[in-house]
Amino acid sequence: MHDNRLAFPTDKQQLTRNDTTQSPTSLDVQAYIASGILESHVLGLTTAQEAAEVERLAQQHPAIEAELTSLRSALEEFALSYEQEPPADLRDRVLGTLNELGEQDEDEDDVDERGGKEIPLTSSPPLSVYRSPRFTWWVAASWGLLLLSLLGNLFLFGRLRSTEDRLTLAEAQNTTLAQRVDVQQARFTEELAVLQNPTTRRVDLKGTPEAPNAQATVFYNATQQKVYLASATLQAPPAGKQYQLWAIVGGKPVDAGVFDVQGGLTRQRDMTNAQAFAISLEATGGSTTEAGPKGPVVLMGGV
Amino acid sequence: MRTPLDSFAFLAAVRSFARVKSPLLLSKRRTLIAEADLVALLQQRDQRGFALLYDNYSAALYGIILKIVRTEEVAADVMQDAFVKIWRNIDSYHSGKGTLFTWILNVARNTAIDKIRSQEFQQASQSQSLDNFVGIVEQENPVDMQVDAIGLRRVVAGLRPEHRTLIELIYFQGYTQAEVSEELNIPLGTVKTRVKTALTQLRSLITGLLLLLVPLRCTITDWLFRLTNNS
Repeated sequence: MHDNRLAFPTDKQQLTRNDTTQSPTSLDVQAYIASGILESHVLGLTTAQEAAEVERLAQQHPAIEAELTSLRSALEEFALSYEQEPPADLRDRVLGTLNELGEQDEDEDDVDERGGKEIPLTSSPPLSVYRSPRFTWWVAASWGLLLLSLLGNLFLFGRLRSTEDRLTLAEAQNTTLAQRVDVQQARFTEELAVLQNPTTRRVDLKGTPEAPNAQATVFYNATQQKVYLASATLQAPPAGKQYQLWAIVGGKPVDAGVFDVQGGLTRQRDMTNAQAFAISLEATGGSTTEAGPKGPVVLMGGV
Repeated sequence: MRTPLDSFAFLAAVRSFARVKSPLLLSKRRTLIAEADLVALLQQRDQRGFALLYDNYSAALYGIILKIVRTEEVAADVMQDAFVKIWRNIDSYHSGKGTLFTWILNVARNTAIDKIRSQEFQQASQSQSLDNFVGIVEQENPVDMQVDAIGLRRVVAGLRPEHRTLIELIYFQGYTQAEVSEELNIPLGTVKTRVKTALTQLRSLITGLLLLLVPLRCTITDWLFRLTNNS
């Protein structure tokens, strides 16, 4: 009791300052405690207004606070007297439920922005409806792009075909050219070899009175028996006529082959022991060794 | 010489120190945590906080719920509902409303009382009377109970019958004073006086028990606390 009384003066000072609220005096505090309202309060029997008053007074008066605490403790002990262990599996059930609640709350935070609680499955259709216009636009754009792509492909395919054709042609031309070059080179190499060979003799044929200005040259390698003719300086023969080269062997003319006027050297038939060469103008196809030259001899030269 | 009130105030302070101000001793897992830290965990909806809460208080809550709803099956449902309510309303708890234990005890009690007052429950158990269920609880096997609870129950059994009936009607049935007046056929003024007397009697009985128990409990708590800190 002494403790309580020592506390009262401070209560009084607080109370006199607080004129607006009709707070109980020190004697009133004891009367308040004795009234039984605190017992009603801890048992949850007071109205909301009474409860608020009890809590407010408890904050102001340690004596009321202490009384409340001791009453609450008594009820707690009373409750504890019925303490009983729950079934072992209840712990997982309860904590599992709270765990689900926690996850739901997190989900609801997201959903609440759209103003409702919806499970993901039911919220899916409105989502796709909402996206529908944009979706159509994308489909249209996709089709357009596909069409453009197809047209582009056709165009490029056409270009490819023509390019391939031209490439094939160019390759063929290139091959032909290369072959021609090869042939030419082989001929030049051969002609050069003939000309460079020390045993090859140059035979200048000079025009007979039939063709005084005509000139041609025969290169004759007696060792190899090869005969080459350079006829570029000759006039082209009249229609139906062809030049024919003859070798004079043992005083008799031997057919060395007909030829057309062209650049470079033409290889004629091989000859052994030729002493001179002559060219006659024959009908196309020429004459034979047996028949001898039928037309006029237009050029002649001795080895 | 101490008056009963003084000694109780002293013991309440000692108890609240042992139980609240110093780290709580959670008997099953021997985890120590201050009540303020536990409340903070609960308000963050931290699962660990709720696991601690369950491990520390489930026996007390379940005992009260079972006393109110009478069957284990319903008690388990109510226990779950009570924890959901704690989860949803923990933000409204503050120390001005008493200790966390008082608060969750009231949540569990109110949930259970709501259950027995619901229509479906009343239809299912219309035949049972108040007298029957008081008997049921007393017949239960006390093997599961902690030593404290057995001692407490003996003490509470020492209440005068009219006081005991009164507290049980109000605390376990959620009766208002007016309803008690009607049920027991006594004037409302008498009910109010009797509520005060009953609680005062209960308090003095418990104080007598605590005078024996608290020093022992504090010593054990203190010893375990030191042991945990040293290891």
